[in-house]
Amino acid sequence: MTLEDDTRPGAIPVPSLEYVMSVRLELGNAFTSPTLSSGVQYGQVDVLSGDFSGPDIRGIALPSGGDTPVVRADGVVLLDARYFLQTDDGVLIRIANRGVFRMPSDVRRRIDAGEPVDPGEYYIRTSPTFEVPLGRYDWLSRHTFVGIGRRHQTGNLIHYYRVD
Amino acid sequence: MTDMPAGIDPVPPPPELVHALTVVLELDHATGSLRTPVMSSRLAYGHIGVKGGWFRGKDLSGVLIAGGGDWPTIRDDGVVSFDASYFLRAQDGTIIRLHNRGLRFTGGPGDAPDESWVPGAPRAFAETDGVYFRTTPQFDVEPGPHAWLSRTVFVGVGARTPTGNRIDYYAVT
Repeated sequence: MTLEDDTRPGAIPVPSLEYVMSVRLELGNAFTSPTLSSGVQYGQVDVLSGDFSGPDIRGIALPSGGDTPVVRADGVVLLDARYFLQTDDGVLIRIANRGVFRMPSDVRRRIDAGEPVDPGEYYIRTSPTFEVPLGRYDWLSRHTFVGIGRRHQTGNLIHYYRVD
Repeated sequence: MTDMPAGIDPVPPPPELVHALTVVLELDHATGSLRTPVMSSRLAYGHIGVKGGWFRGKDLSGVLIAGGGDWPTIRDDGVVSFDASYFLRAQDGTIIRLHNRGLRFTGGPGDAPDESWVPGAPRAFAETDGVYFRTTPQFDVEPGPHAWLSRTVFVGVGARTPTGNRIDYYAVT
């Protein structure tokens, strides 16, 4: 096989995304710093409660962490969240969720006011990693996932897809 | 004195450590930790939230902003490697981000101090005997009178208190 063959589209299969679950979080204690000496703003927000469900998994989000994002000078927010999920059969799952959050200020204002906003008006995408004990859910720590987020007045909703 | 390789001057004296501030944290230990045999036999993750607290130093004092906390990793060897992030609000309104990484384990080479030099500071538990609790913090501060905190290297020495912990920070001069 030549290099030319290797670089044809489709020589490596195009990944497909398989829906696995949606995580709904209620958030609180939000704080965003002014611009600090490093040139960025830092934020923090705690996970207060939540739940999640998918075809083969469901449970709750524990009040066990939150997000410590960086707000760049260009307004893009780099998400860096860490917290725990607990399945309905008692398994703890740690999620570390990094991502990109872009939202025009007027869209944020409308969401904060509880007004309906088209999800196409902003961008929340994440690349989570899951730490899971060996057992029924350990496939979560053997795959790559992407998350697609929706923001609402008091929290967010993120749909997760396995990269197959 | 130790022999040095050719061309290296005698070892300079160690830098002086000057106390800069003491931070007393009220913590929420309610949430547990997760052991993940996927990663290794004993590795575990935890979370401890910051409920509040206060800090005091030379020309500097204020309170902790509730939220944020520590996301420690409990290693196979029993050492807790912590990675904490939270905010301080100085009395003059200056916001200070504290990103604090460090180690805590028992049977360490040094004892944490237990003096309560700041009025009202909680007494540390007697557990300070044989506990190694040291941190390498990074401060990120708004421009202004406290900006030197983000241009200085510090070391922290910690001790648990009945409701959280206390960490004394020393500037490396």
